[in-house]
Amino acid sequence: MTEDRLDGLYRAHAADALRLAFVLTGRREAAEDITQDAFVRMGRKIFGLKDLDHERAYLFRTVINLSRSRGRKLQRERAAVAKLKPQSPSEIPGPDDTWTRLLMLPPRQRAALFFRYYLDQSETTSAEALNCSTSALKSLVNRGLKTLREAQGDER
Amino acid sequence: MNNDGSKLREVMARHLDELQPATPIEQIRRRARRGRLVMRISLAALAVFVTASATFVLARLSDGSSHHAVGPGPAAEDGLIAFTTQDNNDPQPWIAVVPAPGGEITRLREGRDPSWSPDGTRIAFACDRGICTMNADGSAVHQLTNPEAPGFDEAPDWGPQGRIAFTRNYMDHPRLESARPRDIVLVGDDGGEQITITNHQSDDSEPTWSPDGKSIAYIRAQGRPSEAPPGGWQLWTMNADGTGSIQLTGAGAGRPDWSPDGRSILFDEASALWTIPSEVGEPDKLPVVSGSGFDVGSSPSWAPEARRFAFTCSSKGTDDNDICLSEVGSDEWTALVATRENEASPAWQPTAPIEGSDGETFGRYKFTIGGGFSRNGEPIENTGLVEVDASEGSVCVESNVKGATSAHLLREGAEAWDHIVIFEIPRDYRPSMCSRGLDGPSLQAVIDDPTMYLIEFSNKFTGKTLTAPLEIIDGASVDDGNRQNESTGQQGRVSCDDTDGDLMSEGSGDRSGRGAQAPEQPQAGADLAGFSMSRYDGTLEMNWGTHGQVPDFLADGAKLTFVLTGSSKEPGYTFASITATLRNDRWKVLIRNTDDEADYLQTPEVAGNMVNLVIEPGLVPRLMRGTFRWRAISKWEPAGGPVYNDYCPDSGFPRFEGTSS
Repeated sequence: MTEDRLDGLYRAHAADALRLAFVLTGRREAAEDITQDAFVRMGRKIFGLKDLDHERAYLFRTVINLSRSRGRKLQRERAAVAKLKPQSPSEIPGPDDTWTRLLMLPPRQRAALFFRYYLDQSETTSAEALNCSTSALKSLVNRGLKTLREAQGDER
Repeated sequence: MNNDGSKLREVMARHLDELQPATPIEQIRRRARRGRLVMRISLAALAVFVTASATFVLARLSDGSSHHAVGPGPAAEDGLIAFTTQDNNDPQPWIAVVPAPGGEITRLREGRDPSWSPDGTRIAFACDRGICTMNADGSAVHQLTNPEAPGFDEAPDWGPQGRIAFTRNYMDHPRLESARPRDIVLVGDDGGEQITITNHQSDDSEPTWSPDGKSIAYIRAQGRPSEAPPGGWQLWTMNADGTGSIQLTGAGAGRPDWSPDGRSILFDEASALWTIPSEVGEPDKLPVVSGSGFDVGSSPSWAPEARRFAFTCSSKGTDDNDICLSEVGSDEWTALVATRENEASPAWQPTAPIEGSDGETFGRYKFTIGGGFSRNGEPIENTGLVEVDASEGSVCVESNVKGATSAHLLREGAEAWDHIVIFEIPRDYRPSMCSRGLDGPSLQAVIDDPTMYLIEFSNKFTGKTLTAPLEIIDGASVDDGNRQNESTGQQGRVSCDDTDGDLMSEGSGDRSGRGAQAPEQPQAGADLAGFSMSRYDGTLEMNWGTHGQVPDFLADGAKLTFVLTGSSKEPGYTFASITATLRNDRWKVLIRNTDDEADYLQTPEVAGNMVNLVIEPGLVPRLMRGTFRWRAISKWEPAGGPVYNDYCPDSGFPRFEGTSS
């Protein structure tokens, strides 16, 4: 991949990659790191992927994978920090419970909801980024929505 | 649902819209340009290697600076190792090369499954959907095949005589159901006609050429890939025209690589690495993966000297694959390429053959090893030959010492470099074993003064050793014919005092008759000869008996039990026992297949003092379909007499009897 292409890719997709990483980790700093790592990996591919759609799917897959490996470390860190000090404001469940509930969903369900409802991607494109079939994607979305709905129901 | 969706949209927009990346693109560019980590083995690992007698050659792998160090090691340059590298998330792998001692990784081109041309100047690889070749620097790419979509070609192996064998898939993705079983196809290294050599119903893949270009080893399963049972892929060999298929393994195999000296084939199975004699024999699990903390070892590739090998390794606690180096018989290893990316499918660059000089660096020595005494009290001697060729860096030994798992040339108090390993593992008990690619002062020292050296055979299971001094032979006067006489004419049977302690005769057979080993002739003075021959064109034929005298085992009521080991097509099949009982001058032979516990009765012919048993196809159906090897007369009960185990009362059953799993 040429650096020009990397630049273009970064301009086009970095914000969405960062948002995906944020949805997956719930941490701004971690999301920034993951996004950076994901683009470094893209840049090391000297020849690019076939087209923009594939590049984007590849980028999102990378973010998901990096988030997954980072997630375990983060969980341990969080547990340790939680013992020492009160949670930072962004982590205290506020009036916006849907967001908090979203962050408590399994990561792949989170990613599926992000692709479908934030990026408004098609099922096919979303499935590609999650490296799964469209039926598996539908299942992820439905299970995610169901959990969110049930959580809301509980509170009413 | 719609309500859920719109609410979710709104919530996500509130939390995400404002997020913008803060990392400047320059930082990412800089990081992307940075080179990759190449791990070299540590000095500590080097020390371990040096102390391990069999692995001195690995020492030169430790770092680039020792590349020209004096001492034993492979002759000439170590060359490059090509491999496939793939980012964890990247669907598109690359071919890269790294110097075999370690060093900078050079990424060449998108592709996978590299295979070097025999002269080591070009690389064949799977490109897009076809097979391509390129120069070792990634230039001059030629696409040789372009299969009809959705099929694709992969796993090329560049053979001698300018032919490339590869696997043809008739599907568009490895995970999809294949339209039909895969085939092995040949194409010239400059393109041209493509010849499908496996039009079987079976699934044929992953070819590797024998060094003489006459045969191809490959992986075969019945039916379509998706239908094969676990462990259903087996190693086979066939002639280069697709005829004469022979099954070598019975418990699974993958990613074979035929050794440059033609003697054995490396393969992977069940996350471990194995060797198997290229003719017929039992697979031998290499200690490097199972014993040293790898989860996975796969896709091995021989070094040119056919002792070291590169393989795909995955250390415990990491989830990416790297490239490691090791040596046959050793549990030591070196991480050659260890990055965060996934490396796989190493291919070791062939080195140009070393020009031999005529005779000056060539030595031929004989030795005589006491093999104990026969039952008649006659001493049994075992004469062998050692040939040392410094110009080719080879030491070969020919002898009939049975049961040896290693042979060394050594001298008392010798330094590591004065200790030459000829072989270190049980390799089918071949009468001839070689160590190749040796170099340095040790070989020269043997040639200068062979009387300083001992040859030592040992059996790693019993710990027993046999040693004998080397005596010089007038090399000029010994031609090949005389050598044959020398090595076989005084062949004696190993008896209780010897390394393995069992009275053993062995052989092997296969369906086509190819690979059947020369019959071991019964010896005068030996009481019991054992099996002497196998023919495996649908029947199994065994002869046993005596030379000279009619012993008491032919008396009525005598019973012989044999153990047959080996492999067959059926996974899990291990061995059969054969019991022959003499009743009224008729032998009844009971063949017990341990898998199904069925008994098969057969009456062999008795002619004079020889017993001849022919097992017809179908009598032992599963036995008939595999390759196998018999190896022991494990029990002999003369009529009314004591029971002899292994003919040697103290030795018990053979300890190193192997099965194919």
